[in-house]
Amino acid sequence: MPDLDRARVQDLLHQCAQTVLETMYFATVEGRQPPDGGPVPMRWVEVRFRGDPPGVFQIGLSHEAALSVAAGFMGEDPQCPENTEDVIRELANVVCGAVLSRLESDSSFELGSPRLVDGPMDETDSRVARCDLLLDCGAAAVCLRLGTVP
Amino acid sequence: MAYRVLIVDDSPAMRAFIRRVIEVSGFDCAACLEAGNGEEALSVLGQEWVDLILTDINMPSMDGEQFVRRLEQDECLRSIPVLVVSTDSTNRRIHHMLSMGVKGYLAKPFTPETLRGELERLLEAPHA
Repeated sequence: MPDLDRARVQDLLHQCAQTVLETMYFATVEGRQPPDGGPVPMRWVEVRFRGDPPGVFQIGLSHEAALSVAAGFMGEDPQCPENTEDVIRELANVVCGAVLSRLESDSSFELGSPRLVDGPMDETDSRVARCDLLLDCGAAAVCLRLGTVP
Repeated sequence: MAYRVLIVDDSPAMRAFIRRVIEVSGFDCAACLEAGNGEEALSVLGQEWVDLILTDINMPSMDGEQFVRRLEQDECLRSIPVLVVSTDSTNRRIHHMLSMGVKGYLAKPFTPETLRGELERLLEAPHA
């Protein structure tokens, strides 16, 4: 199991998610904290990857954030964006790739297909780093677990 | 001159995004054809001529690396410039794909301006 420098990985998750969301999804990251009032329900997408090290990446978006980033990406009315699930799967793919490219810049990795999952990984696991983000359109969270995937 | 572009990506949303970026950037595009993987792309290329191919790497059925290898083996298709558009921006992957003959490598995320610049560079056709 690789050592995880949690603070460094949280910074990396923050930077990569912010860059991707602001460059291609036209959402603004306003801060690095959970929304006021405690946790909100999120739609989670998971990407498993092979590489050195292997692991699992997840991104969660609140309902409002999912609709808004999908609308921004597709250039559509935020009230009725088509293909929201496909858009957030691709978001997970792009953020995960950006994180791993910085984490493993001299090695190579292979991403699995992004898939919707029920909830976030267990952040009490010592191999897990999580970063909560406040967006202009809702809430998001990004998680990374390094180590062999069962 | 208006160009014909083939976008190869397994995400319909990403294909739509790239198509929209091409359209709004003012790039002179006569047609944007699409395929969900390398196999579908070869099928499209069997029926349609294109001036430029944009391809992802990580795709089911036939991935971007296998697709580029097939293009390079074809005397006719190997002349079409290929721009890789991928989430993987590791040095190893970029060098490997460039050594296979692709003409450019654009890491996601990218801005519309960056994409347009790469398209123009590959086609050597500056636009106002």
